[in-house]
Amino acid sequence: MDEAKITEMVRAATGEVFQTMLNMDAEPGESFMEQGASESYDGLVSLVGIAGKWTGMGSVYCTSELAMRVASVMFMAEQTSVNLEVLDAMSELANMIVGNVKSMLETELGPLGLSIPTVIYGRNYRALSGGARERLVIPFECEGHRMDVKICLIECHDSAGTGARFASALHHH
Amino acid sequence: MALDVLIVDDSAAIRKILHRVLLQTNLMLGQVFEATDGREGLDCMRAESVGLVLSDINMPNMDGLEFLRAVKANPLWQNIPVMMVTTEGSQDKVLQALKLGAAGYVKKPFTPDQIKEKLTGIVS
Repeated sequence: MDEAKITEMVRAATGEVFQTMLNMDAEPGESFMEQGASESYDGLVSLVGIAGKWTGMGSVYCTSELAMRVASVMFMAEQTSVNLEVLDAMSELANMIVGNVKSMLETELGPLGLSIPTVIYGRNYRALSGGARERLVIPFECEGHRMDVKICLIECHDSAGTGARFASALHHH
Repeated sequence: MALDVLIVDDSAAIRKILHRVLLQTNLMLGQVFEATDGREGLDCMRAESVGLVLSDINMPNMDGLEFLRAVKANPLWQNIPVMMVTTEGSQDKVLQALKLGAAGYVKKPFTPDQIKEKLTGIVS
């Protein structure tokens, strides 16, 4: 498995979720590796933990406008502010995207578990996953808004007690 | 006789979507109850005469598999069909749910037709 393969998994999962649940297109851009803390964001991020022999995080970043649009479709009622419905819709969106990526990853990495999603809404925030210095970022454009899906994974070595970084999952499996 | 349905999912959006899909089916629907996790789901089962359950797996407090196990362990409820609707696509979780007595399984994301088709098969 390599970076391109995980990118394809994320593209497939995101495209399917947007098409099937929202009847919307999510146009993928070029993926890249992000190191250190993320760039500064305004809007929402939904985080879903991944656990098992590989641990990490899947996250979905998007603007408030896109989140309100997604929630409007899901609830069939126009959302004009970032309220509980919008947070819930973003939580479920990330759950479905990361959940489907997890299912695809399991065919190569073995059984994995998912956490309950957490959604954060704010301005000018940056994020950093402890222990994972690199994240694969797959950007999308949806109805003129940017959305980033990020995946980071660390292999848990039982005997050595040290984790190989995501790069090893990308390049050696 | 009208069929009372319970939807168990921690996402309000999914509960709303499933409720909407239920209204589009040919089922003779009675009341539709909603619960945000397995514990709330069991409380609802005790209080109401539910005839069909749609349940997520990955939920806080009590997950869908624990909920399913509790439903199937109760002689009063063991014949009530429980359909799982979840992102958990792993073979392990699917087999576990079916082994515990789930009547069917639909993976998220889903189309309304997938839910309707599966429900028709289960209820008929």
